[in-house]
Parts: sequence; structure tokens; C-alpha cells
Amino acid sequence: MNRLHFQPIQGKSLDIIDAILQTEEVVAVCDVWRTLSVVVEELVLNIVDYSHSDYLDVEIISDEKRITLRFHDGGVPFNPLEKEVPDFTIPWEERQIGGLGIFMVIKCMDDVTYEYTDGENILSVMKKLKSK
Amino acid sequence: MSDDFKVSLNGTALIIETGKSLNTTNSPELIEELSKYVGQTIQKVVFDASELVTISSSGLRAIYFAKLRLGNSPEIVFVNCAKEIYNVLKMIGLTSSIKFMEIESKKTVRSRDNIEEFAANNDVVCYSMKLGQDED
Repeated sequence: MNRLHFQPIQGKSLDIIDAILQTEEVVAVCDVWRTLSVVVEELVLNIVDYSHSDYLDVEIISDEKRITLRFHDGGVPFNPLEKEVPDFTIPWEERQIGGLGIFMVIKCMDDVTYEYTDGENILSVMKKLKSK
Repeated sequence: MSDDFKVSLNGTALIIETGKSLNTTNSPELIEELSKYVGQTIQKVVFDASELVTISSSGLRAIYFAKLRLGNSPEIVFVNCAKEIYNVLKMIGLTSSIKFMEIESKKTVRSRDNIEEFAANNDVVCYSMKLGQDED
């Protein structure tokens, strides 16, 4: 397991995204790296822009079957999984752009869970790996 | 072109050649570049996605911007769209209002590898056309 700690996080989104995507565990899963690059971007931007947390911890756990990334922040309690799914049936002009990111995360990953524990938002995302 | 993009105007068609990604590292700059064309007569916005392999919600914002802020709801065209990108656009319900085209001369190794599988698995018509040329 790898654990990264970022503090402060405001204005550091790109550095944080790069650091996560360059970890040994993430680099090693090349068949899902593109998916993870989108998921990491969406989640880091959401936390940095909206959580009001001054830190972000990311745990990365992987084995031959799956990779899990767990994002911890000390911001205001917010469960993104309760966010309303955007309505994609209505015309472009009437659509809300907000919510696209978390929707993409849920669709791209095999499991997404949220909990609020000990003053932290903890969002876990898991992707199954193709067996070799 | 890696992760950069190139924007050019061909008559009333605005052509955007993307790099490998449309994400938070380049989409804000792309939207800023597209802002220069607000108020001009743009009838078609062509995304040459021959190299594109990843798109995030930030990249999707650039597509929305092109559709909603340029011209009078211009036609959106994607050229040589990879299956992964097509699937993202389909996931958010945009494929029915985007025209997809294949242009052999613009294809990269990425798109050539996937074209047969792409055409077989997606509800799109593939044909060749030069950028900026109007279909009959």
C-alpha cells in the first residue's frame, strides 16, 4: 500500500493529480491507467475546489485483481454519491454541467463507496484488473 | 501534438485538432481560445480526435462551450473518434447530436487499430471526407 499526503491543497490540483498518477501502483496498471487518470482528475478537482479541506490523503492498494484508491479529506461532510444524476435526455441548452465528473467516476469504476468517519470524507474507488 | 490542441477557421467551420487528452491541463486554455470566435458565424465545429484517447468532464465542458456559445448552435462533428471517447459521449447522451466521421488520411495508429471494432460495435456511419468539405 502507498499513502500520499498533500497539504496544503489549494492551487495544487495538477501537482496532486500528477503525483498520484506517477505512483508505482498506478503506473503498473497500464491497461486501466487512462481510466484512472480521468477518475483521479475528477476526484482531486472536486476535493480541492469544493471540500474546504486543507489536506488530502490518498491510499493506493493494489494486487493482481484490483486497484483501489481511497481519498481522505477533512472538509465539510459531502457524499458525492447522493448527488443527483444529470439528466442527459434533455437538450444541450437546458443541461446542467455540474455532476458530470462524479457521474463519470461511478460509470468508469467497478465500485465506489463513501463514508464519513472521524471527521473525514472517505471516498474509495476500485477498478478490477484484467487477469494476465 | 501530444496534449496540445490546434484551432483553425476554415470558412464557417471551426476545426479543433486535439492531442491525446482533453482534460483539466488543456481544456481551460481551449475554451479560452474558442472564446475568441464567440460572435462570429460558425456553422460547424469539427473536433479532429484522431489522437484523442482520454476525455474528462473538463474536456466535455469544451464541447458544451462550442455547442452553446459559438455561432447559432453549430453542428458538432467528431473525426476519427476512438471507441473509448465515443463511449464517454454516449454515456452522457451526446452521440445522437454529434456527427461522427472517419477520415483515412488523418488516422493515427490508434484509430486504425480500432476502426473495424468501432464500426462493428457502434451505431455510426463511417465514410471519408476532407476536413471543411460539406457533405451532400
